[in-house]
Amino acid sequence: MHKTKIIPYLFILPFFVFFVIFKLIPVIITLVNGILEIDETSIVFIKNVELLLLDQVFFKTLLNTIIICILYVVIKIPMVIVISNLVNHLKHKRLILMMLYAPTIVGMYAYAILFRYLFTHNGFINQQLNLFGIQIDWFGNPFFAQLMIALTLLWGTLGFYILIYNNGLKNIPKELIDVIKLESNSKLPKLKYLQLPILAPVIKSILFIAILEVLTLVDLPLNLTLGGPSQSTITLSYYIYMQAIQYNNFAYASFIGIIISILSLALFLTKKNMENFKYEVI
Amino acid sequence: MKLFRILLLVFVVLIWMFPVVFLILGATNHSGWAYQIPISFQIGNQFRINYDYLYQTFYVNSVIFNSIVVSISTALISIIVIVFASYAFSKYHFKFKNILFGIFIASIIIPQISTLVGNLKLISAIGLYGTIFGLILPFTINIRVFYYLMNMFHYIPNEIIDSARIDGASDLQIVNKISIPMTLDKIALSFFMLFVSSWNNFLIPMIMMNSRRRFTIPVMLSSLSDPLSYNTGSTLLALLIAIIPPLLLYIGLSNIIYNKNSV
Repeated sequence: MHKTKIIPYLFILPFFVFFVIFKLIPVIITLVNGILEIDETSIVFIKNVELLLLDQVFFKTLLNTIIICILYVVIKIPMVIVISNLVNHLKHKRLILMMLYAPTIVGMYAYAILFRYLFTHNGFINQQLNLFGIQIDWFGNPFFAQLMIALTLLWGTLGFYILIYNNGLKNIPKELIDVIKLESNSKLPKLKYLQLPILAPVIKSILFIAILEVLTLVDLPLNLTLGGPSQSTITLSYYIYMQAIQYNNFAYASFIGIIISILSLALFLTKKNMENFKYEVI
Repeated sequence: MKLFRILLLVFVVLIWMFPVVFLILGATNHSGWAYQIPISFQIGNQFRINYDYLYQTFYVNSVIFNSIVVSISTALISIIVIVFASYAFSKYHFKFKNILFGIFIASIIIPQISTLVGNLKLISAIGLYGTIFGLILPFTINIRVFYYLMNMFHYIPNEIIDSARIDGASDLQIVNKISIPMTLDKIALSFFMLFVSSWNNFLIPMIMMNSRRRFTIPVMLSSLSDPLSYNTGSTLLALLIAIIPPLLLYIGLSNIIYNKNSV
């Protein structure tokens, strides 16, 4: 009896040790660095707040993050709904879902480097747009640079969201679909009165993960635009990297990190129901 | 409606194939290829030259070797640690279980980027900065995989475990002979996810690795694609090397991933 009591502790011990060293201690170091440390004159927290309030770039990065997030979500959610509905009735649904999911395996940094060649001035995308008489300066115009970030992110993550939405679609009862079919012939009511209300939690959860994704976005600006043009693609997370690595300003970088954590916490609290939590795993 | 479906399929194939096609073409063509007007869709003969450039300036073979070693060791250490912990959380009752679980799950709220400073300081404090262990040990804890496996262990009926215990099996035997075999496909999937996340691990390795012989593929790519040293052919070849192993693994494991339990 005594033996069975010690065994679960032995099982979780390695995990617990690794967790404490590599997850918990960095959090504590960050907290100490950004808030609690005491200088000769004052506590770091006050210094950082003063820095933050005077820091125009920080508010610009906050705005950039919001704009990129809006662009990303506004393009993504309709695309997810449309593609999922198209895929849903196909014979080879599984195969197509598999193919759509495959791009999400590749790391974001790789997309950033690849899309730099695609979006470049004479690159593939501009060549195709030229056929329609459009010429876009993706790296020179702040808005298009932000759009480029959103599109690249979309390319790399779309399959994952389609998978989530399709999982939701499977759970709609067949009887309901039949009833709607009796009532009307067109497709639109089915979408409006049946699918969207039933799948509202799924859509919320997609929205939630998407915001979190943009909030922690650092590989893309780092490899695609380096924050330019005129600081328009510096996201909050990339700003941490800039402060810590480029300006060696560890205290301030930690402080921004804490702000991002607070924003993330607020997000999690907003989305209290964790029923769709398991989708985030795959 | 049929036209619609065909259009969709074309779209899907485009999305899926395009980066790979672009990479294969780029990797076999000369450096100016990506800026040609119009881009030619012909496989070139510059593969050898692109590869030689990578070989001479970045020791690409040892970089690939490093990446493989780092990813496999990270995934192995991770999976062993996580399997036992998630099993304990799923099948045992013990003191502080709920508190510990709460702390583990709550740590998901804190994004990795926000503790960048803490991570770097810790890694250099324990002497792993710039070493290959610094690429492995700090990235072994993955709470999402832990949570996923814990849920999967819930599916093992308690009766089976109890009957094994009555037959005199020790706890370790139960894990080895019953629990792991019963969830082997889920564990393989977890291993794949851990492998891929280590293979794609970019930011902290890029910051701390400065010896070219110790680079992993993402680190090599980030210094390759420095705007000052544009060498398109070699960069695209390196990208091709970076995406092939995860994709092959994914195709190999797709039967597990897309069985009726997980999708």
